Amino acid sequence: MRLNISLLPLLLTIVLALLGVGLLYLMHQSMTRAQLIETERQHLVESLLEQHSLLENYLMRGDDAALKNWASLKSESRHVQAVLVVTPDWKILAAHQVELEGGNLTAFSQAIFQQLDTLPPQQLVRPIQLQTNQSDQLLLALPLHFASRQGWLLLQYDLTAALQAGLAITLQNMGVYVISMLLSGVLTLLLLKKILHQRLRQLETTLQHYSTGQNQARATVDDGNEFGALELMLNQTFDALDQQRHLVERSHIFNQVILDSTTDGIVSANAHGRILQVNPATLNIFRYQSEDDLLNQDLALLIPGEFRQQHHLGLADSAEHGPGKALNKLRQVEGLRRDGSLVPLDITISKTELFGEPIFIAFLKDNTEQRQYQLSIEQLAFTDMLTGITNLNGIKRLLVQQHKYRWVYLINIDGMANLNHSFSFDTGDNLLKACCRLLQTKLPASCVLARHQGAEFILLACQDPAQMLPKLSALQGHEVALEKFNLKLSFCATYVSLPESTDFEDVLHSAELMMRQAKAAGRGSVLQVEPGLIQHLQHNALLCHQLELAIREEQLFFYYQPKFSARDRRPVAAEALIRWQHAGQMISPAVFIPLAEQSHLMPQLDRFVISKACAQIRDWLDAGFKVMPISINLSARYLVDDSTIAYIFEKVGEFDVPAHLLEVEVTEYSLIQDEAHTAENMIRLQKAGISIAIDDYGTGHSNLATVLSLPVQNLKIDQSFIRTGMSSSKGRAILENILQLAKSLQVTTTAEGVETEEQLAFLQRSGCEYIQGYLLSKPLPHPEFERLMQSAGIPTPA
Amino acid sequence: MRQLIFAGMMLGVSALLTACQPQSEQKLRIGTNLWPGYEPLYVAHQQKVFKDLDVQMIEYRAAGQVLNGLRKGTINMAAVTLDEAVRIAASGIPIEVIWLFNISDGADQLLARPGIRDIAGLKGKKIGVEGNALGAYLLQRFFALHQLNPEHYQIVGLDLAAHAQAMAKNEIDAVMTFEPEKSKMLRLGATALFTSKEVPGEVLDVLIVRKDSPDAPTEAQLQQFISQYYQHFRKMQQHWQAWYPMLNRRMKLSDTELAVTFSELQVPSAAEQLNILSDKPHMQKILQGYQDVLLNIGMIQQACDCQSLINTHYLESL
Repeated sequence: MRLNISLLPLLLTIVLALLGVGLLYLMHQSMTRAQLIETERQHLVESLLEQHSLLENYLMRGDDAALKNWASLKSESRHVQAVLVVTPDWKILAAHQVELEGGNLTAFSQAIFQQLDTLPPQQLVRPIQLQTNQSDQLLLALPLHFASRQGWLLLQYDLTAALQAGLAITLQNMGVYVISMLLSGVLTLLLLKKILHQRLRQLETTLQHYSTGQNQARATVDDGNEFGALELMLNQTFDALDQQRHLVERSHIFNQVILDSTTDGIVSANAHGRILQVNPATLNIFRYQSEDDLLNQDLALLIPGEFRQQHHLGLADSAEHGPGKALNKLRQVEGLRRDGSLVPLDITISKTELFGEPIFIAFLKDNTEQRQYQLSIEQLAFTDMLTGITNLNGIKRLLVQQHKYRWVYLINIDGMANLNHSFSFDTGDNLLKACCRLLQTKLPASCVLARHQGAEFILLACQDPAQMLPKLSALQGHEVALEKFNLKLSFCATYVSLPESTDFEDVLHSAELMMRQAKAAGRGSVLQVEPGLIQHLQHNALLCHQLELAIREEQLFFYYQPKFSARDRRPVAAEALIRWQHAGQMISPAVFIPLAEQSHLMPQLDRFVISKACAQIRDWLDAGFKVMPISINLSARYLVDDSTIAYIFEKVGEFDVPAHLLEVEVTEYSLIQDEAHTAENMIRLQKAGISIAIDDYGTGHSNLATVLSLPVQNLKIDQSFIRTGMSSSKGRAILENILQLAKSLQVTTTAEGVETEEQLAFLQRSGCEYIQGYLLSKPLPHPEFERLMQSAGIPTPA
Repeated sequence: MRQLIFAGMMLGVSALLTACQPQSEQKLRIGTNLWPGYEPLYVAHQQKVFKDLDVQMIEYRAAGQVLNGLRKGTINMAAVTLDEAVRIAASGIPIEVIWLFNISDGADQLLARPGIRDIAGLKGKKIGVEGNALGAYLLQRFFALHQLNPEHYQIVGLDLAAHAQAMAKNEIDAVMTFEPEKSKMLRLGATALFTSKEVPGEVLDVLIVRKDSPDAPTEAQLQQFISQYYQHFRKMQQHWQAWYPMLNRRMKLSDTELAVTFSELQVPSAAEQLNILSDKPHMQKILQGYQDVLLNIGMIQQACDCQSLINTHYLESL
């Protein structure tokens, strides 16, 4: 049965109305009725009391007729059933019925008599309510005085009419109540029908239309009541749904476009390996024409036979144990095309759930081109382009993979630079190719040959030198046919063992260092790498680097070798000797000067000496010292360079050094080549007031006349000369001649390395003007030299 | 649906109608004074002959009280003398006479106290009379018949119930009275100077019904009432003496007194009533007679429209 919901209010109203009626009736029966009776009683009692005195008056007068009249008239009232005036002897004096008068009360009602008879004499005049056998009756007894005795006025009221009137009112109320309830129910029904029913129907229609695809369907919004909000909300929901649908459609199209346009293949399959979806790129990769060729097929169709077993196992494993090892990893595999060819693929498989079912999605990338590219890159990286054999990278990769090679041989073809220069680089290249072929053919096949750089080959061998060296030696002088001529092959070789744990780079490095030694040793040299030598070379290289740093950061400093007057032993000048303290250790000039020479650091070192000396003189002058001339050593090789002279002038000018306080001692004077230009520069210095001295005279083989032909002011005679001069008369004569010649040329002389009084005495006698040496002072560090300057009678600074 | 709404509305309307409807049919409240002619009615009531009718007897002590009750509306039916009915009608209260109880044939008497022997002895004396009832009319008729000047008498208003007592106390010298007071005074030695025998057919006791009050009895009720009463009345008429004890219950007269009283009354049968009451010229003459007297003594201010006073419809349908 279908219950129309809009009838509910009406039904409810009817139920409520009936309940209300029932309640009202019950109320009437219980409360209202009792109340009515009570009200009536009160009213009657009051009227009785009002008339009491009148009745007493009648009694007093004995006016029975009046009493009877009164009783009659009293009984006139509709609700009065009985009126009795009863004497103390229970005789009815007056009554509503004439017939009763003169009779006894007991004849009228035994029950009333009994009730009254049991009552005590009443002190107060008040009606007493007696019991009657009818519920709607009210029986009142009012005491009356008959002389000194007590009689009664009895009044019996019938309340039926009053109660009926009350009931009528109640019924009327109930009627009004029922009608108003029904009216409100009907009104509610109509209202509901109009609003609820119609508008719900409208909403239902709109929803039906919308659900059947009429997306433009909208509810008519009427803001008149709460439905307005509902209708508005429905419309908004439709709008939102529309928007969402548009978004979904767009997203779907977008996804489809991506799926269609991506060059990556996307394949989805269910847990049983059945293909659910493929995109065009997949068809392209596997050379299929239509999706239908693949849809619902087993994935194995796309997998080469040898991997199918593994694929099935993986699928089963994934189904049983959740995410498999293969998931979410980029792997490189091969796919099976329709035509049976294989295609290299990058594959990533992800697993997801769709409608509660696990599905696998494979993202495929055709790797054919990349593979080719990768191969060519590898070729480039690991192959020597010229010879086609492996290169250093290839060797390194090989060594990572294989550890059987115990020896490394480095083979460097001699005269390569000359060949290139004399002929052409092609000739050189041809030689290299020919060598390569030769080495490949002549050396054991187990060896690995790689071209390193330039004319150098690396040979990895398992064989020890005892086996290999004869084979290599056999190749020396081997005739190699080039385009235009034949060439006798010559090469230097170094070799070193390759312990398993050693870094190949280090090994190669040492072999290369050793190759320098071999090259220095001449064509065809074959040397084994000597770890000590390598270490030494490396140490020197390191020292060189640190020396450069020291020069740049001015870590070098001077010791001062005082020069004394031979005559009175008074210090007159000093030679600034460069010193280097590195890592807390003094490094001898005999070590670092040759290093500087080797590594072409001398110009920088000289400039440092020039600048430092000038700055020191300026410091002393500024400090108020009586500064004695300071000499610095400069190699004759650099004195020919104008820039060196210019630098001296620059620094002298910069520090405002009085020219006579600076002296240049020329070392290695024997290496002077451009004598004229060197002399020119010396003159420029002299003209500026800077004196020139020849240092260490006697160590080389220069002719004294040649030396003295240079514009020098001082000749410093090497210690060896002094020793020689002291040991023999011939030597003494030579020394004396030197001194004499210098004197004649107005060149002052200084004897170096004077160690004994005897030497000093001799030199004094021979006319040597200045001496240096341990006899009077060893080279002094800076503070001591300053003290010397003070103690030499030269005034201390202010 | 529609039917349901309709049903609902009907239910509501019927509930309202029910609430407004009179709860039951009207009570027939019949007021009488004490008069032997009315006793058959009491006997019938006591015999419970009125079935399906709510009949209540209001036992007034005096005719004046009856008239008042009718005027006030506390009763809707009353047993009165015809002259009283005329007075009521003349005062504008619509009533109808539907039953004729009896014709007084001596039952109404002017009694003089012992010591006054004739009419002449009455001159200058106090005459008690029910001021508002038949007594006044009869007194006028007495004066007229005996060509007495009312101004020579002191007329004192006196309720019926007080008649005997007043005479016993010598408060009055004569009184226009009837049973049961009449017998009491006769016992005291009173002498009748005038009786209704002298005005035969003039003193009629009738049952009237008020027609206009909201609780006026319906015709059906009256029809039923007359019919049921008639059934009983016929039984009593067949053998009056047998009913005397019953008829005397209120009167409390001696058997003799009762017999005398009933001998002074003519109790017509229904057919006789119909004959008398439907004799319009006769009735008109009687009614006119009442009116003349009553107007003369100022007991009514205007003549009544007594054309429809007598309703013999119920008697006719018996």
